[in-house]
Amino acid sequence: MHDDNQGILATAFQLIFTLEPELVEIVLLSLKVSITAVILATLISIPLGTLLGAYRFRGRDFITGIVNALMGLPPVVVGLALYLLLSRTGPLGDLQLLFTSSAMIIAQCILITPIISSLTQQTIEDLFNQHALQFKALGAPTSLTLLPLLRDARTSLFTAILAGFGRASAEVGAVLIVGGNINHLTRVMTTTIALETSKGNLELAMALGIILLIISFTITSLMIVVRKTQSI
Amino acid sequence: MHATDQFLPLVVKDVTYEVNGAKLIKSLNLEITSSGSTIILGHNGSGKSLLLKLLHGVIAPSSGLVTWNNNIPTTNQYWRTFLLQTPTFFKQTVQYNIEFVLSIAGIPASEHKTRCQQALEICGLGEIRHRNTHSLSGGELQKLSLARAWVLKPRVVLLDEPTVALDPPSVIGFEQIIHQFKQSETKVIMTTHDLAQAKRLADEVVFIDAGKVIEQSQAGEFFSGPESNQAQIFISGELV
Repeated sequence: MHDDNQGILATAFQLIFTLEPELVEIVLLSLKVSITAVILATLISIPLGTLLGAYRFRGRDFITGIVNALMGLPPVVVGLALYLLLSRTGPLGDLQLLFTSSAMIIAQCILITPIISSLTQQTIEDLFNQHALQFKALGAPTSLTLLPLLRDARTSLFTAILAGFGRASAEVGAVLIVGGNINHLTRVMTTTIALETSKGNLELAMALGIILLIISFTITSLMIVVRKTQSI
Repeated sequence: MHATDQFLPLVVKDVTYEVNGAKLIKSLNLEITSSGSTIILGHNGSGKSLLLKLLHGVIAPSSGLVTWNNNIPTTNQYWRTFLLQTPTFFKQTVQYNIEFVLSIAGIPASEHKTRCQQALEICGLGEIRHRNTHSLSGGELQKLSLARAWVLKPRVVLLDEPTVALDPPSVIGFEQIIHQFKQSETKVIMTTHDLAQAKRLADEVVFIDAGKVIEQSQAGEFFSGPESNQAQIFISGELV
């Protein structure tokens, strides 16, 4: 490795191990934004995915199609749409949410809700189909089967939530647009990496990159552990 | 008066069941009036399982009528239960799966414990009541399926080839529970293609072939000399 790069890496680790205040502030804000977004998205997605997975009703395929299509939403388009909605002249301008962490939470929530919903729907639908004949033979109304099915599906649902968190914590485009990357206010790991790299301040960018990678590996490891637990 | 008399006769009148134009049950007529056990015999693909599903109301006939004492069956009539050939369970404890059935049948919670205890004891599941179903053997799962039926105190129990995947000791254990059902004045209607089992359990035999009832008679008469050619071939052990 080149001496300069070694120096950057060493400084990056030094920033991490000394818990450099600016770095800690950025990491904590990132976690706060992503965790809040995941909680909100989970509260929307689990009921929505369960409804779509267990019930057959008119318009179900249409809603499923929309949810699936939204999984591939370009983050910058979400950011732009949200910017227009929240800007001072926009329909939600009075809420004064633009360039706040709340706007970033909303953006992440919009991006990960379709992912968690779709994974939940697939899980519940598969489980429901496995039991469909049995439920019918038992005369079990669908509404009474949902809680036990959700309990059976808990590890898969947890994996879906982790996948959502992974997606949220790696998000940059939308949060940059609606958050504005304001120092001490809306600066999160991904947006800081983009900014500091462009400024040539690679040490902080590298330190945040390492932390992001650790988060990513932790999530992946958790998913593997959860899946193993399920298969035992 | 026998406990099942209020639900009989079971009448199947000119029932046809079609899937994509293929008639799997063809103008089937059947009347069951006796409270003893009825074994539905027939080779694979003869329509035994479909007939049981029609009797329980899991599927509706394409034409014709199924009635229990003049009432059309629906699956939420808990005087009657249906055990599938491959039952499914929640990946939770044995006890949870039994109590779930009590909940959907609207049995008051105050009765759950006593009923569950009885069902666990009758079916020999008391010691494994807290075990998760994913750790049970095939025999234990079929016993759990029986316990799930027993707990509702049904007057009629329909069983679709329940012992097809069990080893001989498990089959004997299972049949002992079937006898308990009979002793408690529960009518048993069961499909099988196992002749030895049919001889052990049947009071009455219905033999079906290609979606039609070929013969219906008392078990003794049937096994000593069936009237129809198809049934003779079947009990002689020849492949049809």
